[in-house]
Amino acid sequence: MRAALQEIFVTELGLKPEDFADDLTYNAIPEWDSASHMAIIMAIEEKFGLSLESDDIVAMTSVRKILNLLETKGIAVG
Amino acid sequence: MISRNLEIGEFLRLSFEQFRDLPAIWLGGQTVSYAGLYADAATLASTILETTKPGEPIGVLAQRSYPAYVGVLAALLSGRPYVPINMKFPFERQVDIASIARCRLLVWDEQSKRRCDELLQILEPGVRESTASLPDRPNNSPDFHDGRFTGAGSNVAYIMFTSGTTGAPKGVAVRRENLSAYLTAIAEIAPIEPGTRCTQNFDLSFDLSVHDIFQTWASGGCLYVMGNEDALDPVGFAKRHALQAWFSVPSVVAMARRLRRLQPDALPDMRLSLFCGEPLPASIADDWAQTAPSSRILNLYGPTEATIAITAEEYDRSAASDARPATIPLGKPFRNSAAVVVDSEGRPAPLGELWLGGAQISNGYINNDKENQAKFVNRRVPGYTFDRWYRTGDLVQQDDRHGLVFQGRMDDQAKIQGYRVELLEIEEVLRRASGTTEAAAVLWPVSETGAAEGVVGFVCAAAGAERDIIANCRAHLPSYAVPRKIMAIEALPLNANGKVDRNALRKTYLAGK
Repeated sequence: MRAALQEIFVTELGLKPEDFADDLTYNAIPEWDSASHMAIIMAIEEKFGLSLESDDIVAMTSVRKILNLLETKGIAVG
Repeated sequence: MISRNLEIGEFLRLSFEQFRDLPAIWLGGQTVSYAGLYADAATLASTILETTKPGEPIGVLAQRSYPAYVGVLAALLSGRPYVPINMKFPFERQVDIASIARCRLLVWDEQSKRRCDELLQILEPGVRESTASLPDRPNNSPDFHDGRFTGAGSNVAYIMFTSGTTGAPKGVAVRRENLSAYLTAIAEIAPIEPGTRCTQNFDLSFDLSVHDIFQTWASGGCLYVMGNEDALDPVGFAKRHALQAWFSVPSVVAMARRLRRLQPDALPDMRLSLFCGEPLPASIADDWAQTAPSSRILNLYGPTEATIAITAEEYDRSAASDARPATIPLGKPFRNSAAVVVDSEGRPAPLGELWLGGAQISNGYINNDKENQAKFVNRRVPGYTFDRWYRTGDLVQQDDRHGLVFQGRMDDQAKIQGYRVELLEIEEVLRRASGTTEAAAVLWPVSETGAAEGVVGFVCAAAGAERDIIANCRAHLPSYAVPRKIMAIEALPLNANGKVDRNALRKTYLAGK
């Protein structure tokens, strides 16, 4: 799951794979702004077959928070 | 009430004194009073007076932090123009902005200190730096009558950089008188009471932030500064703090709608909602009217060159939705301003380019005679007393029923998420980034209301992989203007005029994806 999330960040934000890290946070880099956040959310929904609640979407403000949330949705962190 | 026609520095001093005990700013849970904020700005203004000459610009390399707001106020008190330098911009663009404006002092915050040091290494020698910090124990009795803060020395209030067509940003110098004229006009159209809790959504490098800051402080309101994470849920932020005055681009509301944040009566305290920066779709205004049932809703329009906004149209809650046009009209010009639709000869016409004149028309672009000559004209227009006009490049219809109605652009300027961009600038960067002579930038995706959310690049015979081209663009352009995807194609389609046909590119390669 981690690798899939990394792929989403690389594709949607144009990040280098090595720049993907748990402590990466929303708005800490120019690439992750409110518009690209929505693109990330849509890619996550598509990839993992989820429909995320708006409270979840606005709380997913770091890679760690996204991983934790996906885990609570029953998606195994690998 | 203090007259807003006073010199802006004098007006601000009197205003801060009048509201001295009220909260001026809320930041991350901490509130600072007008007196406390003034005291910190006066301290920084003293440093500015001691280390720079009259009229020398102050770069504000800070965002959504206390030093940013202290810096802006201190610059105006000391009679120096302020120049916002967005930390989200690439380093090269920051260097361009600070050098073109010739900033002589940079105001930094914790997040930007390192970047400030890097800039100081590159900028011409002798540029100073300074900061401010949130006071543990604010000084509640500053000297509001310090004779040094007369504002003398510069007629420019701020220099705001916008996208330029050639690849370098261009700086618009807005005079102190322009700002006074705006504050006078907006107080008539959309007044707020002392104590009003107001949003501060806009980045300082977007001139709509000037409204946030100075309309709030001119009125005794409290500026609620959204933190970075709050930007994902501005409606939630407004709800938590029971905010009463809202200002954003319509795209912010469109996103809130996608996040299902526009619930009926979600913002019962809201009294005034202003939208600007891009066309306001009637469907967005309708939804907002439900979300904020007690709020007036106004659509503002105006380019940076004409100081924040220069026309307004009030949304009519009682009108049947089928009686409204699909987008809210631009409305009527402010007092002391004029907006006239002209034909290609500069004569008033029902459909044509919108020209703006009056007290809010700025000095124009700094060190850019060519653009000034192209965009600012001295001309008598029948029926108007003003003889200097800003040519907006907006195609507008003068409609008996709806007033001024935006019909599109006459050039390659566009809005992405409300930010103004020149597609020609993106294409110039794309050509350099991909080592090709043929490149095109196409707005995509476009929301259901017609607002552009991003841009896609097309290149022919590019040298380099998509990821490298995007990374290269990122080094030169603000994030909202960086192409999200690069599509390599054989040849760019041309229209009948021999220009790149962006519509054909959109239809052929993007529609349906």
